[in-house]
Amino acid sequence: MKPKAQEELIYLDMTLKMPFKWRTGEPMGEFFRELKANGKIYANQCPKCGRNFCPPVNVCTRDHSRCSAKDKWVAVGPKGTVLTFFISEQSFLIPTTGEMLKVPFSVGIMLLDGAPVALQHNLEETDPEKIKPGMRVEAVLKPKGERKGNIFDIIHFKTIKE
Amino acid sequence: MANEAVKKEPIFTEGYVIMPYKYSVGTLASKFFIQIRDSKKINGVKCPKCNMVIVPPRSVCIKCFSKIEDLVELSGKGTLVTYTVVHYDSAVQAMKPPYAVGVIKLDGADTAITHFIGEVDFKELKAGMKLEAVFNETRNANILDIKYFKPVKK
Repeated sequence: MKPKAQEELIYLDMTLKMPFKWRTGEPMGEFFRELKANGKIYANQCPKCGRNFCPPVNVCTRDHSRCSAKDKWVAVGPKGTVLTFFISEQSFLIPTTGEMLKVPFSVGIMLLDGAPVALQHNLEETDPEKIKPGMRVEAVLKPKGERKGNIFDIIHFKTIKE
Repeated sequence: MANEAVKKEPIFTEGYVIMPYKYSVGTLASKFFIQIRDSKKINGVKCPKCNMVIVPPRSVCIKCFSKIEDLVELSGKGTLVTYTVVHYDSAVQAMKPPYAVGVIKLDGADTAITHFIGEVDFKELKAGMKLEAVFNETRNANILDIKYFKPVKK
């Protein structure tokens, strides 16, 4: 039915905001407990093939063995080496907070000291001229009282001279 | 460290799933809401073929599927068919409980609408009681322009 000229059409403009509480399960819970309480980053290890994962996994991606919080953990970081990175100028609505993501932001994949494992996280440096693969970085954590037990307890990785 | 993982408190991540959206009510429903907003009048539609009076308005009759184009004005008064009093509190509730919500058959209509019942003691709620619409001072052309239905004073 085509509206006649000058007929007002009504729209409902709404923002549905549903609060969620996602349980991490284990071994991820253990990873966050250590990060929150002690500021330490750990990787878990597959009990069969010895592959390391940071953040930890429930199932080994190589041989599908079950990895639990009771299996071996390896301390990694807080320093690491940048393997690769990207910088984004594109902002978008963060679904979990309703805010637009601050741009530019850079994300690096860091090989962490202590185990052959790489973690993806924000880099402090957003100038592409200043980031090079092989660059040394160190995790910057929130102060203990502000840590919640999620990945944002690590604010970003800052460039260090080594 | 976690070389001996002990039974500990589970870790949760708290956040929101936020979805902004825009819903178009259509040409017939637009007229319905504009009448509520501008004139505090509740309208239904009358099927030209089978004479069924439907509210809120639909452009296709629910009984005989004929096309409907015109609104008919209703009095804004009706009868309570059934009701419930909500005590359960959650973030997605329409109102802070406790509150009463009822199915109201408006005078002259063959269908019923759902809305809040206000200015009433929950103990006095009774199927068959007469109600009338109470409108908000500020209206935005949506169903909440009707604040609630209140009992008609004898």
